[in-house]
Amino acid sequence: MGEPDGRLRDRTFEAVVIGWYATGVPRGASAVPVRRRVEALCAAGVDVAVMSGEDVGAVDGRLHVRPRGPGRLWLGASGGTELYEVRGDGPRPGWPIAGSGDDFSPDGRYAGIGPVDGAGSMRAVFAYLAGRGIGAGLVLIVADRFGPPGGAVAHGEIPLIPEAGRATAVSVGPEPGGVAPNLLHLGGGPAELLRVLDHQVRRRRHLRIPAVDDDPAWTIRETGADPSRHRVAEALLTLGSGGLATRGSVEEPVAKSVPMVLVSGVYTGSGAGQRLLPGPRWTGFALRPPAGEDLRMLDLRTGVLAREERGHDSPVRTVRLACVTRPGVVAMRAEAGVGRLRAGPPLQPPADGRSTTGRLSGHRWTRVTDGHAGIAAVAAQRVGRDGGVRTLERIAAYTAGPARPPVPRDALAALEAAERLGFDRLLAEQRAAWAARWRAVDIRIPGDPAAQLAVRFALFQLWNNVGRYDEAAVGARGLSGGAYAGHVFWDADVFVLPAVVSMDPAAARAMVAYRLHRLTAARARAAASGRAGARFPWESAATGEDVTPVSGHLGGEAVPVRTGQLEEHITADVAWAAVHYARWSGDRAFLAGPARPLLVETARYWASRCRVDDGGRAHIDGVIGPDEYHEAVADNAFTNVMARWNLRRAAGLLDPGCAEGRRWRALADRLVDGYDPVSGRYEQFAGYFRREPLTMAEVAAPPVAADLLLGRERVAATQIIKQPDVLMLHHLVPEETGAGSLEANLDFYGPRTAHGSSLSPAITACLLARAGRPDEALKLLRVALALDLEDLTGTTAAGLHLATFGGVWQALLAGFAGARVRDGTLLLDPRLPTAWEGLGLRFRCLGRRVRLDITREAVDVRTDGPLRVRLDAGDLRHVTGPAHLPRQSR
Amino acid sequence: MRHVLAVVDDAAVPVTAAAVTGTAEAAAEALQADVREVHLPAGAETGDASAAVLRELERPGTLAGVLAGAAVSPAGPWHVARHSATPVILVPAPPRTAVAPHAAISRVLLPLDGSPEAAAAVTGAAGLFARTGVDLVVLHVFDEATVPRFWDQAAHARQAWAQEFLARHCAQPGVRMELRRGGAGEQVVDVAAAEHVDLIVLGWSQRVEEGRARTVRRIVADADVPVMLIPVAPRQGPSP
Repeated sequence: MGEPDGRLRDRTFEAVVIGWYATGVPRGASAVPVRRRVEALCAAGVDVAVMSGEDVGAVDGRLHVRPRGPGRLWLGASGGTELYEVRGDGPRPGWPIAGSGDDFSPDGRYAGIGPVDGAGSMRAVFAYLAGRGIGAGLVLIVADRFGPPGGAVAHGEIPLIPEAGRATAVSVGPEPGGVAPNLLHLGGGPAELLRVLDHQVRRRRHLRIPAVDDDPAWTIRETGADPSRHRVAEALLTLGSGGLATRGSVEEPVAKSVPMVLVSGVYTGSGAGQRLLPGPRWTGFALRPPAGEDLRMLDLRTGVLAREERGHDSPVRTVRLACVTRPGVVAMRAEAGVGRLRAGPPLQPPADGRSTTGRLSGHRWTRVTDGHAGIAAVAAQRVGRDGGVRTLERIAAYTAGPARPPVPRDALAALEAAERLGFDRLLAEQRAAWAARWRAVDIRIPGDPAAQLAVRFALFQLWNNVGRYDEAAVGARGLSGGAYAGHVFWDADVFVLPAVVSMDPAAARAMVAYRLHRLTAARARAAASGRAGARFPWESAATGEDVTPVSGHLGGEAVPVRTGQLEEHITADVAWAAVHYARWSGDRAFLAGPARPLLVETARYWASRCRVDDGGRAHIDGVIGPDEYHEAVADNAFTNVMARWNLRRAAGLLDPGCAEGRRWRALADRLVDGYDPVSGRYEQFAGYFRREPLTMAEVAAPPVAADLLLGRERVAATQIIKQPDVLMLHHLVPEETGAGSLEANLDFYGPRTAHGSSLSPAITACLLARAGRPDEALKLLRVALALDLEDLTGTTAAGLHLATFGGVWQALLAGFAGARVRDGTLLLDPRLPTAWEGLGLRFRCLGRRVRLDITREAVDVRTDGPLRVRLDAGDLRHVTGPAHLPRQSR
Repeated sequence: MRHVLAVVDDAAVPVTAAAVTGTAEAAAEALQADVREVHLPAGAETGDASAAVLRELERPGTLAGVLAGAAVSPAGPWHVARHSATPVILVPAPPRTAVAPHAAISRVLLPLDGSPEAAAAVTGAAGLFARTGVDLVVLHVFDEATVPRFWDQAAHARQAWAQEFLARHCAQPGVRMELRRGGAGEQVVDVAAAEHVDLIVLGWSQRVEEGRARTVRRIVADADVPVMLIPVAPRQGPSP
């Protein structure tokens, strides 16, 4: 049997559409050869659609396939106007998709196909596949006659619908008039059709590499041409699920590479030296000779990382995934020339960890532990051969113990279940799970594909790095690298959580649970400093004790680090995160229930922390605000107002007659906040306005680390600030700020902001959008979008900046869409930049899935259940399903 | 056979000639090479002498040439350095400190500005020095052009930043990194003194016309130790 054309030879498709007439089976005849291939494809997990101009009985009578799955079989009949799913008992009429145009059909499947015409069944099949995460690039269409691209089809022709644009379309017909440019003409009739199908079956049986849909709207590509990008790519291409993540390092050993598997909450070391414990690695193999230039492609749509070497006769190809539906399970397929790829052991110890290995039920296990915490993995692998190609399939399951060494056997059941399912079905599960995610949370920016892709990347990596549901310790760099030691900062509470709660409320709740579970440590910290209540640490890791180092560097200058001692606003930030989770998700019972101690204890801390002067005014002395250029200041507006908010919010949870609550309210009223109602400005801290009134126009173009440029003491003597400080109040607790004060403070502090923190650009973009300056906002949003993708910090290689990703999504949602929740109502106040004609957002809010399609004229809202919505401060609308809300005030 | 060329100007004061030969011997030891001396006779025309030195530097196996440094001029050591494809070590003339003439090179300063070209230029030399156990110190100076845009937390930022800088710009394991702020030339000279380095290794464009190579000229003029100038390969394609 000859091999098919080169465009088919190295590609394994996930779905095959067959033009019935290409089978050459006349009426009344049997189609046994085709039947066998279709049965084999379905058994291998391939979805097959057979399209015919004839009626269903005529086609089914000859084909007579009764698939048992996992692949499905569809019959498109009567010229594409009818569609049947064929099961064990024969064809069942009906469309696979509810055709209402409502994305949230009751069974949760994708919908949205148009009217039924000659292309109706094709559209329905492609919509179904899209709903399973199978993009058109994974579909093979084989027929003997095609209709014109996008045009009407004649009887027996396969319509080339726009949705199939990236599909591989192959004609086995004579095509006397020539073929469309994107059509591959093989000719050869029914025999060639069978060869093409046989090749697909063969690739499946020989564990060949599956294809990845190279849709530019969904893929991040790294060519490997720039050596300085290699380590950056390792972070960018991180895959994670369920709190376990694998950096995107190439499989074979490479100089300077930092392959790493990290698990959320599993630390080693003590005190400030605590850091994430690297676990056993599962992706390694040997490659001789080493790989040349390759293309690495991260498919955001399906959560799959693919690699293909260029310019080699037997290129190395790999595909790997971290199973979304099976937390802790990872899988990989690889192939290269026989003699070139050597699988080696399926698990390898990390570069710097003690490990033990053994065998368990025929599988190899490896465990890394420091005696207190640990990570273990059990793995299986199959090594095969397809002609001159060596194939490798590897599946591993992980278990971890944050406070005790894990038992490898605990991962065995997950491994064996994954093995039974097999790689192809794991991959199918993965695609479907990610498709479900993107149906609920996504962005569309017509005319700005680069920004759209970058936002999708941000969402993708938030999902990858935040995935535990018991408790989630979300470090500043997530699980994508060792930088910042995996320590948890306010980044998690204030930047990441507000994004995550709109993506996966349960994951956001787990982030709050991380803090709740460390309330005892926070109480101890407060007591140790002679205070009441609970004080959360600036940097936190396993136990909740403060793990902030006491020394560090500004460039080459060794400096004392005082954030652990003085950056106390973290305590109110933690409380704010709990409240924000409850408010946005609609989890009403949370604050009065599990989160109540956290709110109350943090308020008690502030009550004991405040100093009341002789005039009865309350102060908080000796703190560092979010702007870390000015240390040990008094009455930092952000700290004081957040403390005030904390006191009032907690008092609201107490019995109205409770004396402690009354004291908190009275104290809150007396806390100074530096607000001048005449100018509308807050003074960032006592004495700030007396500092040298330097602006960034006189220093350097932001973003820039002004403290490195000017020096620590010099910058502290000026009004230059690192990031929003006062303005963080307008972002987090606008109801606590002076009416209309956002604009005045943006005007004042904007020119003084260096944006020397990676937290700064996205949140400032959010604030600018809310202030009606969306064009300025878009400029800063683009900085945030490029921060990791273009490695603006020079440190992405050591881990992604999760807070920036969270800030990006907040900028879109709270900034450009103006989405906020108040009293159980979704408030919308969109501000579109000039460059955007519209903005589409999907997110979760108040227990609903919400879709917004925003233009300057109107907002189309769709929900999967009743939702109270108020647009532009207009009338309250009770939205159920779709609603068209015209803009009133703009 | 690999060798370091010692260019001895017979007209120079003895202490300078000794510094040249001493530096050549130390460099040869560190680079595991021999020393070959070439003498410039007293009274030779500067242009002729430079041409002769350039011819010697082109000989196969020449790792570097050691010359007594001088002010930038159309001829002389700078002329040689500008036109030689082989690295040139300029020795302060006359020596500014009482450096022992046969002192070994035990520590080398590698100032890197973050450009791939500079890194590529010094990589080979760094590798040769590392083989003989020479302590390598990489220096990067933050100024308006090179200061990072972001520096999140002083407690952690340096480790991540420096680790990545070294990974990209200096392949040698065990290299120590120093960061400074200010003028590059001034900082290199200061760090060289503070770290007691025996040699400064610089990649340079070999262009000394007005406005160019100010940092290199400053370092050569002010450093107390010899400076090795390694020609930077021209950038591929148009300059940005």
